[in-house]
Amino acid sequence: MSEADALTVIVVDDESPARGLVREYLADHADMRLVAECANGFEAVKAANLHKPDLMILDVQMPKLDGFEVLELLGTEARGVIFTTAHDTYALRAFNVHAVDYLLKPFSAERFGEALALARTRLRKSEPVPARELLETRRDGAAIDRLLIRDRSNVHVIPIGDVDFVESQDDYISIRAAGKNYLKEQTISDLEQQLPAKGFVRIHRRFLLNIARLAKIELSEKDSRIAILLDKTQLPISRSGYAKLRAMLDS
Amino acid sequence: MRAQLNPHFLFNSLNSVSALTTSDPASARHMCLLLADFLRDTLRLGSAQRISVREEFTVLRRYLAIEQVRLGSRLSVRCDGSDQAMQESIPALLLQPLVENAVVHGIAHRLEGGTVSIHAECRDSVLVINITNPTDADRPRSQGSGFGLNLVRQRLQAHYGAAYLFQTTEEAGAYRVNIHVPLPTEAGA
Repeated sequence: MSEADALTVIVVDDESPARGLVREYLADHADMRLVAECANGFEAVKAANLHKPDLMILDVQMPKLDGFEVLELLGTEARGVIFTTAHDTYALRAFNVHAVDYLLKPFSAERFGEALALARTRLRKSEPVPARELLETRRDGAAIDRLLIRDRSNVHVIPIGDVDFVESQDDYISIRAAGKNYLKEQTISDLEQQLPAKGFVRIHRRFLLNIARLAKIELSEKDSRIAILLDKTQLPISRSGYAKLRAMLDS
Repeated sequence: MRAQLNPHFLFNSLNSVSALTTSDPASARHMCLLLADFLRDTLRLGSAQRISVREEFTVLRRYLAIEQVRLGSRLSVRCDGSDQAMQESIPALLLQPLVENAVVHGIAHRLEGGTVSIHAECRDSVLVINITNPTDADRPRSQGSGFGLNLVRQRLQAHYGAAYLFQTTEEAGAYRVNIHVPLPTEAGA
């Protein structure tokens, strides 16, 4: 098998023995070329950005970013993924993000080989991963407590309490937090659904406001209102946005 | 007592053994022996039993040595106490869930790892035990395992009635558990 035909693989696990095991198992498969070993999610995002691997062997529980968060950040760049974990509780979520396979630790060389066989079939057919679906598969419907933003190979972790407001820019959102702007590939409606019900209000088709940043509401011309934030930023409020805002402030 | 043992701890440990079998057979065997000793301890010690702090610390060190195989240099351990404290007795495996929390919800969430510190001393008529671990700044409330904390609280109550203190605090990036239990009185002995 020539180098060019080989599938490139990245192994991500925060435990050194666990990475060693995958390295050993991979050595029996001549068509698999290990291009990076990563000890945490940040390294995984960097390595995936650099190597554009065909396959990621990905642990779930890791410091800072878990395996699912790594996938969320990589979006369509994640081609094939095989999860490895000691927990059986993530299997459904793994299936939802179109994982090739889900290996329960400890696993045998044979079981690992089956997973690789599945990956070969899947990657050869090169079925495109449905990006939107991938991005929208979240942590079991629970509200998020932080935003993950990828800036090339760097990852920013922003606690949602630090967010002032979010502005929609078509398929992207611009997030204003702690005096900085961050761009993320996500729709504003999608983010709105993930945020905790209290705290953020969709004051306008294009704006999602952290209600803790609201200083006052001013009537501009005619019937339209604007929100003045603590830092003097002005945002438009739509008619339905105002109703939502009132409901939240009155409750 | 058996119900306390986290099955994921076992599966992850077995995965380490499986990995080390070829890369480092001596370490694999060492890990098997550590696991066997630790499991035997947890099976042997009933929940009604009391053991010395010294013996409790021996069990905790075994558990932490196993976790050190997985986490490598990310986990360091400081476990000490005064001579008097070491001879006092406490409910067997009382501290185990707390130390497990310190590793699983503390150290394992940090890229750079950190030190789990366990300390025991006597102050007047009270045995004072502290367990401390650094936390991840991005997830300050990660010490979530209420199950472990409740278990410890129940056991303290069963053994000491209302005469104990059980406190958890988190500040400046450190999570700390503070336990005070009365020493047996001389007259009652």
